[in-house]
Amino acid sequence: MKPVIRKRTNRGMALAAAMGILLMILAVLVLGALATAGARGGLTSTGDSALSSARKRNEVQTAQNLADSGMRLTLQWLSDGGMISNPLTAKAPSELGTPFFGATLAGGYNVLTLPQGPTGPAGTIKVRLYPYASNDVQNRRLFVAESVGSFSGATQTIRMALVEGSFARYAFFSDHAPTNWWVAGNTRFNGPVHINGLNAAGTGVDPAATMNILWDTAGATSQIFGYNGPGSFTTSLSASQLNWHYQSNGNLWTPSGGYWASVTATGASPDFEVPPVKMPVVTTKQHDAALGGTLEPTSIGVSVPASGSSAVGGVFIKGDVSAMKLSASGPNSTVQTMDIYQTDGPTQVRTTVTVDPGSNSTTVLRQTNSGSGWAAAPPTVLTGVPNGAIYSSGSISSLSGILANNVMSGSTVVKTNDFTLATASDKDVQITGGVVYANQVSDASNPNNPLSSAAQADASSGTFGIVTRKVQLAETDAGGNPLTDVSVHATVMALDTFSAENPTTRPSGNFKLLGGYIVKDSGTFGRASGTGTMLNGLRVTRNFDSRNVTNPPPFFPSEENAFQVISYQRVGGPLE
Amino acid sequence: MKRSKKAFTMLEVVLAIVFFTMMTLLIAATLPMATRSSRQSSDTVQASSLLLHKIDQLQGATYARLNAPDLENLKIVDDAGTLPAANLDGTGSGGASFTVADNLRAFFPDYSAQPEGRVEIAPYLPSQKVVASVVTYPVVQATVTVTWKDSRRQVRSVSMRALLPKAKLQ
Repeated sequence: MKPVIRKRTNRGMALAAAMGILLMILAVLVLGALATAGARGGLTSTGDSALSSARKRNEVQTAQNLADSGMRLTLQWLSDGGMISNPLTAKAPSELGTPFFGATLAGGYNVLTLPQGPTGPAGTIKVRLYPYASNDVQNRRLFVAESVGSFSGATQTIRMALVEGSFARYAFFSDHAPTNWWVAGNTRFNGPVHINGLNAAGTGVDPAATMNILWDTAGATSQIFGYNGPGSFTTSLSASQLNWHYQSNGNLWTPSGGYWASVTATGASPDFEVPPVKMPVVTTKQHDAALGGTLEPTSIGVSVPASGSSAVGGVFIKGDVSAMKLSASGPNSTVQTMDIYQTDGPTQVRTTVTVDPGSNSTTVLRQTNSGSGWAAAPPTVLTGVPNGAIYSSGSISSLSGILANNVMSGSTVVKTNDFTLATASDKDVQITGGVVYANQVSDASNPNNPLSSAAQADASSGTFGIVTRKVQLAETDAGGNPLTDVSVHATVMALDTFSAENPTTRPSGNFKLLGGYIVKDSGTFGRASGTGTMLNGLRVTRNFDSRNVTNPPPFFPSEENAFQVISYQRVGGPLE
Repeated sequence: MKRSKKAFTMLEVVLAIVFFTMMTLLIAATLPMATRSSRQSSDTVQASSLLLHKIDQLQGATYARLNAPDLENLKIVDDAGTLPAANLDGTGSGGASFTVADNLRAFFPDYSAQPEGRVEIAPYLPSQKVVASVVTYPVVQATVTVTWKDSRRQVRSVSMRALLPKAKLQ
């Protein structure tokens, strides 16, 4: 009996003790978990970890939002013209020009704080810029901006590459909705199109403005807006201000769904009611670029501003120009000559500017004729070539000729022949003959009116822009011949309008534009019958110079210092 | 004798019952807390997503449309609230709810009786410009807040503030 009794007693105690110990361990574990609730670990670890993760995610998102805000501030600062100098190293914005929204300068960054909510903690924004070394010579300035947002220990960095915006990116731009304008027949836009549709005072969109577009359902072959990229067709007008007419019967029928693919290459409807894009009203930018920091001449004539014997600006023309004839010569037609005729009282003045990028030299020859023949002064030879800005304080009554090619090495552009001809904002330009890229000339039999059938330029073609109040295609060329066919290779901005002289009475013909058409008011070039046959004037063929997207004419007006975003990246940290 | 040898003692049974009862109670006590934490985290994530979504909408609306009629037409806010009728110079300030516009009730549980989303816009003062005595602000600050109540009826909120410039991204 004894062993049985001893055995039962031992078993009972052992089990009781084991259970007691287990209970104590579990109690400690559970109580410990409860005591540390809200922190990591314990039995609530799953919920706590998720909550912690959510908070961290919120902090990262807030830091991201701060970095994005810093980037947007940078855009505003750039748009305000804040950047004055173009250094070659990374700098805080305020080191490059105007103050940066009250930010402090620390460690090469502009730093500012931004509370996250009415009573919330503040985050910080740090911004700096990396300008490209090529900005001094590029037609469009290029920047890399970095913005670092920090919030509660989380840090996010955004890097964005920006390029200065240019009106030259438009194939067609009109500040006002063209009056009684019909987009019909063979009209094709192979570049971005924008219509502001502003009222006469320019204070807002004109509610009475309308546009009429004749469209067909032939798919890609009938696409009026053939540019398959952003901004294919944008307008500040509302959808109801565009009248879509079906070509086969003229009835009003607004495309929808898959029918847009017969109208736009994007297959989408236009972007309506976008904010108006403000046109410039002055040509100060081109004026200043042509002077290159030198004083404006006071007497009639043409000058290439220089410092010593080096060209420092563009070409500055004081006074009205009776004729400007352009020609190309030299190896591969890379030497640009401009013959500029003026009148100074009883004296005729002829200035010949010869620009040779191949030899990096510019020659200026001035001749005068007071009635006893031309007398030439010794030519001025400068080192370097003009910066591309040609500015005239007066009107240009006759413009025609051939534009020189770029200097190439194989398929690589070594030196460019890029020019923008601008006048004072109250002066005009009359085109009296073709203005054609040398490597695109198809018919040079009439020296006053070279022709081209090219639909596109290439890398070796020069680049030309015109910025003036009015541009007009004359009815006759400089030789008195009717200008029935004319080719213009230029991106034209008319602060007023670009039209043909006597469009409803002149002989019918063709006008081929290779470049862009940017106007305040769309002009008239001719009149056609209901079947599309030209009765008088010029049938317009518009070809967009796609090179403008990346390399517009030099000093071409920008969109109120707008910058286009080339890339936008979230990155691990700053470049430096 | 054989049967009594195999049986548990009363002490063993009582201890086992006590042990399992306490263990069950202790574990059960932690479950609501875990549930609350999980709910709170999902609410926070949801609220943060709503903030970002709203800021994206405001950025997409563009500076020129940071006014009552446009934000209402774009269905970014429920109504005009106290937002300015026009705000082309960035001087206007005010706020409006987006509780209905974004259907906040669908995102937060029933016990959150009053979820609310609000947008407040105001001039970003460091951007002030004065030209010919005319004051403008090319940068507007937008503060977006989402407020809700958790399972304990405690008010929770998250906010985010973004800067919206007049300059356009092209």
